[in-house]
Amino acid sequence: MFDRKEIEMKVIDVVTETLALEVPANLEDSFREDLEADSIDIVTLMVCLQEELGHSFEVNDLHGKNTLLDVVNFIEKLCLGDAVPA
Amino acid sequence: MRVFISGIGLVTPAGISRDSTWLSLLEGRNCTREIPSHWHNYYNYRSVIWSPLPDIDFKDYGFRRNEILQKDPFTLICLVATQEALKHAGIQTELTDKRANTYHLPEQDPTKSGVFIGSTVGGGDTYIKVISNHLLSRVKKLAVDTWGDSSEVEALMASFSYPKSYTPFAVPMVMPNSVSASIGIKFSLTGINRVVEHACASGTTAIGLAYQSIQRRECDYVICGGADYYSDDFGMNFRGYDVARTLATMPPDGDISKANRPFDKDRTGFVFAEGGAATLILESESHIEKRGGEPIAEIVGFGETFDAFSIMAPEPEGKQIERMIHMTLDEAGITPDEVGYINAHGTGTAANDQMEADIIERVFGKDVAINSTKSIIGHTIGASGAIEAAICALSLRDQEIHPSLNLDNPIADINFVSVRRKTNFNYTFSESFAFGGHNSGLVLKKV
Repeated sequence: MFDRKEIEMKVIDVVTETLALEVPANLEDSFREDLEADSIDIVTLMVCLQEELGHSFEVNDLHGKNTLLDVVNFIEKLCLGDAVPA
Repeated sequence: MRVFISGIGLVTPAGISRDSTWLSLLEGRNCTREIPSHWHNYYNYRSVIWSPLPDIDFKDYGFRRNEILQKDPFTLICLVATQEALKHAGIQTELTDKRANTYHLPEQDPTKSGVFIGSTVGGGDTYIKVISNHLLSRVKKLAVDTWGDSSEVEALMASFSYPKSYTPFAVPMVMPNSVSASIGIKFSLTGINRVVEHACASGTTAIGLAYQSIQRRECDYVICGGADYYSDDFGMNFRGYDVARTLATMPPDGDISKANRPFDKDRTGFVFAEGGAATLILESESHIEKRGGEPIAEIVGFGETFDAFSIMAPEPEGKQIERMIHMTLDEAGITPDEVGYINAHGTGTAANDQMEADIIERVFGKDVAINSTKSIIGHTIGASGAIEAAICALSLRDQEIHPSLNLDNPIADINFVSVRRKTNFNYTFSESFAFGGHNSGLVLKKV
Protein backbone atom coordinates (compact mmCIF):
# COMPACT_ATOMS: atom_id res chain seq x y z
CA MET A 1 0.00 0.00 0.00
CA PHE A 2 1.34 3.41 -0.97
CA ASP A 3 0.55 6.78 0.59
CA ARG A 4 -0.26 9.81 -1.53
CA LYS A 5 3.27 11.20 -1.50
CA GLU A 6 4.70 7.88 -2.68
CA ILE A 7 2.09 7.66 -5.44
CA GLU A 8 2.93 11.19 -6.61
CA MET A 9 6.62 10.34 -6.78
CA LYS A 10 5.96 7.07 -8.65
CA VAL A 11 3.73 8.81 -11.21
CA ILE A 12 6.26 11.62 -11.77
CA ASP A 13 9.14 9.13 -12.12
CA VAL A 14 7.25 6.85 -14.51
CA VAL A 15 6.03 9.73 -16.70
CA THR A 16 9.51 11.26 -16.80
CA GLU A 17 11.07 7.92 -17.76
CA THR A 18 8.38 6.80 -20.20
CA LEU A 19 8.30 10.09 -22.09
CA ALA A 20 12.10 10.56 -21.94
CA LEU A 21 11.73 14.04 -20.43
CA GLU A 22 14.81 16.19 -19.83
CA VAL A 23 13.39 17.52 -16.54
CA PRO A 24 10.91 15.80 -14.19
CA ALA A 25 7.23 16.20 -15.05
CA ASN A 26 4.96 18.37 -12.89
CA LEU A 27 1.74 17.09 -11.35
CA GLU A 28 -0.19 19.85 -13.16
CA ASP A 29 1.18 18.87 -16.61
CA SER A 30 -1.38 17.61 -19.09
CA PHE A 31 -0.35 14.50 -20.99
CA ARG A 32 -1.36 15.64 -24.45
CA GLU A 33 -0.83 19.43 -24.43
CA ASP A 34 2.17 19.88 -22.12
CA LEU A 35 3.96 16.57 -22.57
CA GLU A 36 2.88 15.79 -26.16
CA ALA A 37 2.07 12.19 -25.28
CA ASP A 38 0.16 10.13 -27.83
CA SER A 39 -2.25 7.29 -27.08
CA ILE A 40 0.50 4.63 -27.21
CA ASP A 41 2.58 6.64 -24.73
CA ILE A 42 -0.38 6.76 -22.36
CA VAL A 43 -1.03 3.02 -22.64
CA THR A 44 2.67 2.38 -21.97
CA LEU A 45 2.48 4.67 -18.97
CA MET A 46 -0.44 2.64 -17.66
CA VAL A 47 1.50 -0.63 -17.98
CA CYS A 48 4.50 0.88 -16.18
CA LEU A 49 2.30 2.12 -13.33
CA GLN A 50 0.79 -1.36 -13.00
CA GLU A 51 4.31 -2.74 -12.61
CA GLU A 52 5.39 -0.09 -10.14
CA LEU A 53 2.30 -0.14 -7.96
CA GLY A 54 1.28 -3.78 -8.21
CA HIS A 55 -2.30 -2.83 -9.10
CA SER A 56 -4.10 -4.18 -12.10
CA PHE A 57 -6.30 -1.79 -14.04
CA GLU A 58 -7.53 -1.64 -17.60
CA VAL A 59 -6.45 0.72 -20.37
CA ASN A 60 -9.87 2.35 -20.26
CA ASP A 61 -9.39 3.26 -16.58
CA LEU A 62 -6.96 6.02 -17.57
CA HIS A 63 -9.26 7.54 -20.19
CA GLY A 64 -10.31 11.02 -19.19
CA LYS A 65 -7.30 11.46 -16.93
CA ASN A 66 -5.75 14.58 -18.46
CA THR A 67 -3.04 15.44 -15.96
CA LEU A 68 -0.63 13.61 -13.68
CA LEU A 69 -2.74 14.82 -10.77
CA ASP A 70 -5.82 13.08 -12.23
CA VAL A 71 -3.83 9.83 -12.34
CA VAL A 72 -2.55 10.28 -8.78
CA ASN A 73 -6.11 10.82 -7.56
CA PHE A 74 -7.31 7.71 -9.40
CA ILE A 75 -4.52 5.52 -8.03
CA GLU A 76 -4.99 6.83 -4.51
CA LYS A 77 -8.65 5.84 -4.68
CA LEU A 78 -7.64 2.47 -6.13
CA CYS A 79 -5.32 1.90 -3.16
CA LEU A 80 -8.16 2.79 -0.82
CA GLY A 81 -10.53 0.49 -2.71
CA ASP A 82 -12.79 3.39 -3.78
CA ALA A 83 -11.94 3.64 -7.49
CA VAL A 84 -14.65 2.87 -9.98
CA PRO A 85 -13.32 0.91 -12.94
CA ALA A 86 -14.18 2.32 -16.35
CA MET B 1 25.79 -7.93 -59.23
CA ARG B 2 28.12 -9.17 -56.48
CA VAL B 3 26.75 -9.29 -52.91
CA PHE B 4 28.93 -9.15 -49.82
CA ILE B 5 28.41 -9.81 -46.13
CA SER B 6 29.87 -6.87 -44.22
CA GLY B 7 28.44 -7.21 -40.70
CA ILE B 8 27.32 -10.00 -38.38
CA GLY B 9 25.43 -9.87 -35.09
CA LEU B 10 24.64 -12.96 -33.01
CA VAL B 11 22.56 -13.85 -29.97
CA THR B 12 22.82 -17.59 -29.30
CA PRO B 13 22.97 -20.02 -26.39
CA ALA B 14 26.76 -19.82 -26.86
CA GLY B 15 26.94 -16.04 -26.33
CA ILE B 16 25.35 -12.63 -26.79
CA SER B 17 27.69 -11.41 -29.49
CA ARG B 18 29.39 -12.51 -32.68
CA ASP B 19 32.78 -13.03 -31.07
CA SER B 20 31.60 -14.83 -27.91
CA THR B 21 29.48 -17.21 -30.01
CA TRP B 22 32.28 -17.88 -32.49
CA LEU B 23 34.84 -18.54 -29.73
CA SER B 24 32.45 -20.89 -27.89
CA LEU B 25 31.85 -22.81 -31.10
CA LEU B 26 35.55 -23.10 -31.90
CA GLU B 27 36.16 -24.37 -28.38
CA GLY B 28 33.20 -26.74 -28.59
CA ARG B 29 31.55 -25.53 -25.37
CA ASN B 30 28.47 -27.67 -24.92
CA CYS B 31 25.35 -25.58 -24.24
CA THR B 32 23.01 -28.43 -23.25
CA ARG B 33 21.35 -28.08 -19.83
CA GLU B 34 18.38 -29.57 -17.95
CA ILE B 35 15.01 -27.92 -18.57
CA PRO B 36 13.61 -25.63 -15.83
CA SER B 37 12.41 -27.76 -12.93
CA HIS B 38 8.99 -26.07 -12.69
CA TRP B 39 8.11 -27.22 -16.22
CA HIS B 40 7.75 -30.73 -14.77
CA ASN B 41 4.67 -29.47 -12.89
CA TYR B 42 2.81 -29.34 -16.19
CA TYR B 43 3.83 -32.44 -18.13
CA ASN B 44 5.88 -35.61 -17.98
CA TYR B 45 8.30 -34.77 -20.79
CA ARG B 46 10.09 -37.44 -22.81
CA SER B 47 13.06 -35.09 -23.20
CA VAL B 48 14.38 -33.20 -20.17
CA ILE B 49 17.17 -31.20 -21.82
CA TRP B 50 17.45 -27.97 -23.78
CA SER B 51 19.88 -25.24 -24.69
CA PRO B 52 19.07 -21.99 -22.85
CA LEU B 53 20.14 -18.49 -23.83
CA PRO B 54 22.42 -16.53 -21.48
CA ASP B 55 20.51 -14.04 -19.29
CA ILE B 56 19.95 -10.78 -21.18
CA ASP B 57 19.08 -7.40 -19.64
CA PHE B 58 17.91 -5.46 -22.66
CA LYS B 59 18.54 -2.14 -20.90
CA ASP B 60 22.25 -2.99 -21.13
CA TYR B 61 21.84 -2.89 -24.91
CA GLY B 62 20.34 0.60 -24.97
CA PHE B 63 16.65 -0.27 -25.06
CA ARG B 64 14.22 1.93 -23.16
CA ARG B 65 11.58 0.53 -20.83
CA ASN B 66 8.89 1.40 -23.40
CA GLU B 67 10.52 -0.77 -26.04
CA ILE B 68 10.98 -3.71 -23.70
CA LEU B 69 7.29 -3.53 -22.73
CA GLN B 70 6.12 -3.28 -26.32
CA LYS B 71 8.23 -6.03 -27.91
CA ASP B 72 8.40 -9.80 -27.57
CA PRO B 73 11.85 -11.23 -26.73
CA PHE B 74 12.18 -12.64 -30.27
CA THR B 75 12.10 -9.09 -31.60
CA LEU B 76 14.40 -7.73 -28.90
CA ILE B 77 17.11 -10.34 -29.44
CA CYS B 78 16.99 -9.67 -33.18
CA LEU B 79 17.39 -5.95 -32.51
CA VAL B 80 20.40 -6.70 -30.28
CA ALA B 81 21.93 -8.72 -33.13
CA THR B 82 21.09 -5.98 -35.64
CA GLN B 83 22.78 -3.27 -33.56
CA GLU B 84 25.90 -5.43 -33.39
CA ALA B 85 25.87 -6.19 -37.12
CA LEU B 86 25.56 -2.49 -38.04
CA LYS B 87 28.37 -1.63 -35.63
CA HIS B 88 30.72 -4.27 -37.02
CA ALA B 89 29.86 -3.19 -40.58
CA GLY B 90 30.84 0.37 -39.66
CA ILE B 91 27.45 1.74 -40.69
CA GLN B 92 26.87 5.02 -38.86
CA THR B 93 23.63 5.56 -36.91
CA GLU B 94 22.21 8.86 -35.60
CA LEU B 95 19.51 9.28 -32.96
CA THR B 96 16.42 10.93 -34.45
CA ASP B 97 13.81 10.58 -31.68
CA LYS B 98 14.87 10.25 -28.06
CA ARG B 99 11.41 9.25 -26.83
CA ALA B 100 10.94 6.52 -29.43
CA ASN B 101 14.67 5.69 -29.31
CA THR B 102 14.82 5.55 -33.10
CA TYR B 103 17.74 6.24 -35.42
CA HIS B 104 18.50 6.87 -39.04
CA LEU B 105 21.49 5.83 -41.09
CA PRO B 106 22.72 9.17 -42.46
CA GLU B 107 24.96 7.76 -45.20
CA GLN B 108 22.35 5.38 -46.62
CA ASP B 109 19.35 5.83 -48.92
CA PRO B 110 16.44 4.59 -46.74
CA THR B 111 14.34 3.69 -49.80
CA LYS B 112 17.05 1.25 -50.96
CA SER B 113 17.49 -0.30 -47.50
CA GLY B 114 15.77 -3.65 -47.03
CA VAL B 115 14.94 -5.90 -44.09
CA PHE B 116 14.39 -9.66 -44.49
CA ILE B 117 14.03 -11.73 -41.31
CA GLY B 118 13.08 -15.39 -40.90
CA SER B 119 11.03 -16.60 -37.94
CA THR B 120 8.81 -19.55 -37.15
CA VAL B 121 6.24 -18.48 -34.59
CA GLY B 122 6.78 -14.77 -33.98
CA GLY B 123 5.97 -13.68 -30.44
CA GLY B 124 5.28 -17.08 -28.92
CA ASP B 125 6.26 -15.99 -25.41
CA THR B 126 3.75 -13.13 -25.48
CA TYR B 127 1.06 -15.36 -26.97
CA ILE B 128 1.35 -17.84 -24.13
CA LYS B 129 1.46 -15.03 -21.54
CA VAL B 130 -1.80 -13.46 -22.76
CA ILE B 131 -3.51 -16.84 -23.09
CA SER B 132 -2.49 -17.76 -19.55
CA ASN B 133 -3.74 -14.43 -18.19
CA HIS B 134 -7.00 -14.72 -20.13
CA LEU B 135 -7.76 -18.27 -18.96
CA LEU B 136 -6.29 -18.31 -15.46
CA SER B 137 -7.92 -15.02 -14.45
CA ARG B 138 -11.24 -16.80 -15.05
CA VAL B 139 -10.05 -19.85 -13.11
CA LYS B 140 -9.06 -17.61 -10.21
CA LYS B 141 -12.48 -15.92 -10.20
CA LEU B 142 -14.25 -19.29 -10.19
CA ALA B 143 -11.97 -20.52 -7.39
CA VAL B 144 -12.63 -17.43 -5.28
CA ASP B 145 -16.39 -17.67 -5.98
CA THR B 146 -16.37 -21.34 -4.95
CA TRP B 147 -13.94 -21.48 -2.04
CA GLY B 148 -13.68 -17.84 -1.00
CA ASP B 149 -10.70 -15.47 -1.15
CA SER B 150 -8.55 -17.72 1.03
CA SER B 151 -4.81 -17.98 1.36
CA GLU B 152 -5.05 -21.48 -0.16
CA VAL B 153 -6.68 -20.13 -3.32
CA GLU B 154 -4.11 -17.33 -3.47
CA ALA B 155 -1.24 -19.85 -3.12
CA LEU B 156 -2.77 -22.16 -5.73
CA MET B 157 -3.06 -19.37 -8.31
CA ALA B 158 0.38 -17.97 -7.47
CA SER B 159 1.88 -21.36 -8.36
CA PHE B 160 0.99 -20.73 -12.02
CA SER B 161 3.17 -17.57 -12.23
CA TYR B 162 0.96 -16.11 -14.98
CA PRO B 163 1.00 -12.37 -15.70
CA LYS B 164 -1.51 -10.38 -13.64
CA SER B 165 -2.52 -8.20 -16.56
CA TYR B 166 -3.19 -8.70 -20.27
CA THR B 167 -0.72 -6.57 -22.17
CA PRO B 168 -2.39 -3.98 -24.40
CA PHE B 169 0.45 -4.59 -26.87
CA ALA B 170 -0.46 -8.24 -27.43
CA VAL B 171 -1.14 -8.01 -31.16
CA PRO B 172 1.99 -6.10 -32.23
CA MET B 173 4.09 -8.28 -29.95
CA VAL B 174 2.76 -11.58 -31.31
CA MET B 175 2.63 -10.88 -35.04
CA PRO B 176 5.65 -12.42 -36.80
CA ASN B 177 6.27 -9.32 -38.92
CA SER B 178 6.86 -7.29 -35.75
CA VAL B 179 10.53 -8.29 -35.94
CA SER B 180 11.21 -6.87 -39.40
CA ALA B 181 8.90 -3.93 -38.75
CA SER B 182 10.71 -3.11 -35.51
CA ILE B 183 14.08 -3.08 -37.30
CA GLY B 184 12.66 -0.86 -40.05
CA ILE B 185 11.18 1.55 -37.49
CA LYS B 186 14.27 1.53 -35.24
CA PHE B 187 16.56 2.53 -38.11
CA SER B 188 14.09 4.44 -40.35
CA LEU B 189 14.41 2.07 -43.32
CA THR B 190 11.67 2.40 -45.91
CA GLY B 191 12.70 -0.21 -48.51
CA ILE B 192 11.39 -3.77 -48.81
CA ASN B 193 10.48 -5.16 -45.38
CA ARG B 194 9.64 -8.86 -45.13
CA VAL B 195 9.32 -11.78 -42.76
CA VAL B 196 9.88 -15.31 -44.05
CA GLU B 197 8.13 -18.15 -42.25
CA HIS B 198 9.73 -21.37 -43.47
CA ALA B 199 10.13 -23.07 -40.08
CA CYS B 200 13.72 -24.34 -39.71
CA ALA B 201 14.73 -22.97 -43.13
CA SER B 202 13.44 -19.44 -42.38
CA GLY B 203 16.81 -17.83 -41.73
CA THR B 204 18.49 -19.33 -44.78
CA THR B 205 15.61 -18.40 -47.07
CA ALA B 206 15.45 -14.85 -45.67
CA ILE B 207 19.14 -14.32 -46.46
CA GLY B 208 18.65 -15.83 -49.92
CA LEU B 209 15.75 -13.51 -50.70
CA ALA B 210 17.74 -10.54 -49.38
CA TYR B 211 20.64 -11.53 -51.66
CA GLN B 212 18.25 -11.67 -54.63
CA SER B 213 16.78 -8.25 -53.79
CA ILE B 214 20.27 -6.73 -54.10
CA GLN B 215 20.93 -8.64 -57.31
CA ARG B 216 17.69 -7.23 -58.72
CA ARG B 217 18.84 -3.73 -57.64
CA GLU B 218 15.77 -3.31 -55.44
CA CYS B 219 18.08 -2.66 -52.48
CA ASP B 220 21.63 -1.33 -52.03
CA TYR B 221 22.03 -3.09 -48.75
CA VAL B 222 19.89 -5.32 -46.56
CA ILE B 223 19.61 -6.24 -42.90
CA CYS B 224 18.70 -9.93 -42.96
CA GLY B 225 18.74 -13.04 -40.82
CA GLY B 226 16.51 -14.96 -38.46
CA ALA B 227 15.11 -14.90 -34.94
CA ASP B 228 13.06 -17.16 -32.73
CA TYR B 229 12.40 -17.27 -29.00
CA TYR B 230 10.69 -20.31 -27.56
CA SER B 231 10.79 -19.96 -23.81
CA ASP B 232 7.65 -19.70 -21.71
CA ASP B 233 6.80 -20.19 -18.05
CA PHE B 234 4.95 -23.46 -18.61
CA GLY B 235 7.17 -25.42 -21.02
CA MET B 236 4.31 -25.24 -23.52
CA ASN B 237 6.39 -24.58 -26.64
CA PHE B 238 8.86 -27.26 -25.60
CA ARG B 239 6.01 -29.76 -25.21
CA GLY B 240 4.98 -29.24 -28.86
CA TYR B 241 8.31 -30.60 -30.04
CA ASP B 242 8.50 -33.19 -27.26
CA VAL B 243 5.18 -34.82 -28.17
CA ALA B 244 6.29 -34.92 -31.79
CA ARG B 245 9.19 -37.12 -30.54
CA THR B 246 11.77 -34.96 -32.28
CA LEU B 247 13.86 -34.03 -29.23
CA ALA B 248 17.07 -35.56 -27.92
CA THR B 249 16.79 -37.48 -24.68
CA MET B 250 19.17 -37.79 -21.73
CA PRO B 251 21.77 -40.55 -22.33
CA PRO B 252 21.25 -43.71 -20.23
CA ASP B 253 24.32 -42.88 -18.09
CA GLY B 254 22.95 -39.38 -17.35
CA ASP B 255 25.90 -37.58 -18.98
CA ILE B 256 24.12 -34.51 -20.35
CA SER B 257 27.20 -33.43 -22.31
CA LYS B 258 26.71 -36.48 -24.55
CA ALA B 259 23.05 -35.86 -25.39
CA ASN B 260 23.55 -33.63 -28.43
CA ARG B 261 25.14 -35.82 -31.13
CA PRO B 262 24.13 -35.14 -34.75
CA PHE B 263 25.40 -37.68 -37.29
CA ASP B 264 26.31 -40.17 -34.54
CA LYS B 265 24.80 -43.66 -34.43
CA ASP B 266 23.51 -43.06 -30.88
CA ARG B 267 21.71 -39.79 -31.67
CA THR B 268 18.16 -39.51 -30.30
CA GLY B 269 16.88 -36.21 -31.69
CA PHE B 270 17.68 -32.50 -31.61
CA VAL B 271 18.36 -30.35 -28.58
CA PHE B 272 15.74 -27.62 -28.39
CA ALA B 273 17.23 -24.14 -27.96
CA GLU B 274 15.51 -21.42 -25.97
CA GLY B 275 16.05 -19.06 -28.86
CA GLY B 276 18.53 -17.21 -30.98
CA ALA B 277 19.03 -14.45 -33.50
CA ALA B 278 21.48 -13.72 -36.27
CA THR B 279 21.61 -10.59 -38.37
CA LEU B 280 23.80 -10.15 -41.42
CA ILE B 281 24.41 -6.94 -43.35
CA LEU B 282 24.47 -7.61 -47.10
CA GLU B 283 25.69 -4.99 -49.52
CA SER B 284 26.11 -4.60 -53.24
CA GLU B 285 29.67 -4.35 -54.49
CA SER B 286 29.24 -0.69 -55.45
CA HIS B 287 27.68 0.18 -52.10
CA ILE B 288 30.39 -1.39 -49.98
CA GLU B 289 33.13 0.13 -52.17
CA LYS B 290 31.57 3.58 -52.05
CA ARG B 291 31.44 3.69 -48.27
CA GLY B 292 34.76 1.89 -47.76
CA GLY B 293 33.28 -1.11 -45.95
CA GLU B 294 35.19 -4.34 -45.30
CA PRO B 295 33.61 -7.52 -46.70
CA ILE B 296 33.68 -10.66 -44.55
CA ALA B 297 32.54 -13.05 -47.27
CA GLU B 298 30.61 -13.05 -50.54
CA ILE B 299 27.29 -14.75 -51.23
CA VAL B 300 27.42 -16.36 -54.66
CA GLY B 301 24.50 -18.78 -54.72
CA PHE B 302 21.03 -19.39 -53.31
CA GLY B 303 18.49 -22.07 -54.10
CA GLU B 304 15.24 -23.35 -52.66
CA THR B 305 12.92 -26.25 -53.39
CA PHE B 306 9.90 -27.87 -51.78
CA ASP B 307 9.38 -31.58 -50.99
CA ALA B 308 5.58 -31.76 -51.52
CA PHE B 309 5.73 -34.92 -49.40
CA SER B 310 4.92 -34.54 -45.67
CA ILE B 311 4.25 -31.70 -43.26
CA MET B 312 6.57 -33.24 -40.61
CA ALA B 313 9.01 -35.61 -42.32
CA PRO B 314 11.63 -35.10 -45.01
CA GLU B 315 11.19 -37.04 -48.23
CA PRO B 316 13.45 -40.06 -47.48
CA GLU B 317 15.46 -39.98 -50.71
CA GLY B 318 15.95 -36.21 -50.49
CA LYS B 319 15.34 -35.68 -54.21
CA GLN B 320 14.25 -32.07 -53.77
CA ILE B 321 17.13 -31.36 -51.39
CA GLU B 322 19.55 -32.70 -53.98
CA ARG B 323 17.89 -30.54 -56.65
CA MET B 324 18.20 -27.53 -54.34
CA ILE B 325 21.92 -28.19 -53.84
CA HIS B 326 22.56 -28.45 -57.59
CA MET B 327 20.49 -25.32 -58.23
CA THR B 328 22.53 -23.39 -55.66
CA LEU B 329 25.88 -24.65 -56.96
CA ASP B 330 24.85 -23.83 -60.55
CA GLU B 331 24.02 -20.29 -59.55
CA ALA B 332 27.40 -20.02 -57.83
CA GLY B 333 29.01 -21.33 -61.00
CA ILE B 334 31.00 -23.98 -59.16
CA THR B 335 31.20 -27.76 -59.08
CA PRO B 336 30.62 -29.81 -55.90
CA ASP B 337 34.31 -30.56 -55.46
CA GLU B 338 35.06 -26.84 -55.09
CA VAL B 339 33.10 -26.70 -51.83
CA GLY B 340 35.54 -27.12 -48.95
CA TYR B 341 33.13 -27.02 -46.02
CA ILE B 342 29.44 -27.81 -45.49
CA ASN B 343 27.61 -26.45 -42.46
CA ALA B 344 24.99 -29.19 -42.39
CA HIS B 345 21.39 -28.92 -41.25
CA GLY B 346 22.58 -31.67 -38.87
CA THR B 347 19.78 -31.77 -36.32
CA GLY B 348 20.42 -35.11 -34.65
CA THR B 349 17.12 -36.71 -35.66
CA ALA B 350 17.18 -40.21 -37.12
CA ALA B 351 15.46 -39.22 -40.36
CA ASN B 352 17.36 -36.01 -41.11
CA ASP B 353 20.91 -37.07 -40.45
CA GLN B 354 20.94 -40.30 -42.43
CA MET B 355 19.25 -38.70 -45.42
CA GLU B 356 21.54 -35.65 -45.25
CA ALA B 357 24.73 -37.72 -44.92
CA ASP B 358 23.67 -39.85 -47.90
CA ILE B 359 22.99 -36.77 -50.04
CA ILE B 360 26.30 -35.14 -49.08
CA GLU B 361 28.23 -38.27 -50.01
CA ARG B 362 26.28 -38.64 -53.27
CA VAL B 363 26.71 -35.00 -54.37
CA PHE B 364 29.97 -33.86 -52.78
CA GLY B 365 31.88 -37.11 -52.19
CA LYS B 366 33.90 -38.04 -49.11
CA ASP B 367 36.38 -35.18 -48.85
CA VAL B 368 34.34 -32.08 -48.03
CA ALA B 369 34.54 -31.05 -44.34
CA ILE B 370 31.17 -31.26 -42.53
CA ASN B 371 29.99 -30.06 -39.15
CA SER B 372 26.78 -29.23 -37.31
CA THR B 373 26.53 -25.93 -35.42
CA LYS B 374 23.41 -27.39 -33.77
CA SER B 375 25.62 -29.99 -32.07
CA ILE B 376 26.85 -27.18 -29.79
CA ILE B 377 24.10 -24.56 -29.50
CA GLY B 378 21.07 -26.74 -30.14
CA HIS B 379 18.35 -26.04 -32.69
CA THR B 380 17.26 -22.39 -32.79
CA ILE B 381 14.56 -23.25 -35.36
CA GLY B 382 13.83 -20.10 -37.43
CA ALA B 383 17.15 -18.51 -36.50
CA SER B 384 19.27 -21.59 -37.20
CA GLY B 385 19.90 -21.05 -40.91
CA ALA B 386 20.94 -17.44 -40.34
CA ILE B 387 23.25 -18.38 -37.47
CA GLU B 388 24.81 -21.10 -39.61
CA ALA B 389 25.30 -18.75 -42.58
CA ALA B 390 27.04 -16.34 -40.19
CA ILE B 391 29.25 -19.17 -38.95
CA CYS B 392 30.11 -20.07 -42.56
CA ALA B 393 31.21 -16.46 -43.17
CA LEU B 394 33.38 -16.45 -40.04
CA SER B 395 34.83 -19.85 -41.01
CA LEU B 396 35.80 -18.47 -44.43
CA ARG B 397 37.28 -15.34 -42.83
CA ASP B 398 39.39 -17.29 -40.32
CA GLN B 399 39.88 -20.43 -42.47
CA GLU B 400 38.84 -22.46 -39.47
CA ILE B 401 36.00 -24.93 -38.81
CA HIS B 402 34.43 -25.54 -35.41
CA PRO B 403 34.03 -29.13 -34.15
CA SER B 404 30.84 -31.14 -34.34
CA LEU B 405 30.31 -32.62 -30.87
CA ASN B 406 29.93 -36.23 -29.81
CA LEU B 407 30.75 -37.88 -33.13
CA ASP B 408 31.94 -41.08 -31.47
CA ASN B 409 30.42 -43.42 -34.07
CA PRO B 410 29.62 -41.47 -37.25
CA ILE B 411 26.77 -42.79 -39.37
CA ALA B 412 28.77 -42.41 -42.59
CA ASP B 413 32.36 -42.61 -43.73
CA ILE B 414 32.61 -38.96 -44.74
CA ASN B 415 34.77 -36.07 -43.56
CA PHE B 416 33.06 -34.98 -40.31
CA VAL B 417 34.97 -32.37 -38.29
CA SER B 418 35.09 -33.66 -34.72
CA VAL B 419 38.06 -31.53 -33.63
CA ARG B 420 38.56 -27.80 -34.33
CA ARG B 421 40.32 -27.61 -37.67
CA LYS B 422 42.45 -25.01 -39.48
CA THR B 423 42.24 -25.54 -43.22
CA ASN B 424 42.19 -23.79 -46.59
CA PHE B 425 38.96 -23.50 -48.52
CA ASN B 426 37.25 -21.02 -50.83
CA TYR B 427 33.59 -22.01 -50.72
CA THR B 428 31.13 -23.12 -48.03
CA PHE B 429 27.63 -24.53 -48.39
CA SER B 430 25.01 -23.91 -45.69
CA GLU B 431 21.81 -25.93 -45.97
CA SER B 432 18.50 -25.95 -44.10
CA PHE B 433 15.44 -28.21 -44.29
CA ALA B 434 12.12 -27.50 -42.61
CA PHE B 435 8.85 -28.88 -41.32
CA GLY B 436 6.47 -28.40 -44.22
CA GLY B 437 9.08 -29.48 -46.78
CA HIS B 438 11.04 -26.29 -47.45
CA ASN B 439 14.69 -26.74 -48.46
CA SER B 440 17.13 -23.89 -48.99
CA GLY B 441 20.87 -23.42 -49.34
CA LEU B 442 23.52 -20.73 -49.68
CA VAL B 443 27.01 -20.80 -51.16
CA LEU B 444 29.47 -18.36 -49.60
CA LYS B 445 32.87 -17.49 -51.04
CA LYS B 446 36.08 -16.33 -49.42
CA VAL B 447 37.04 -12.71 -50.12
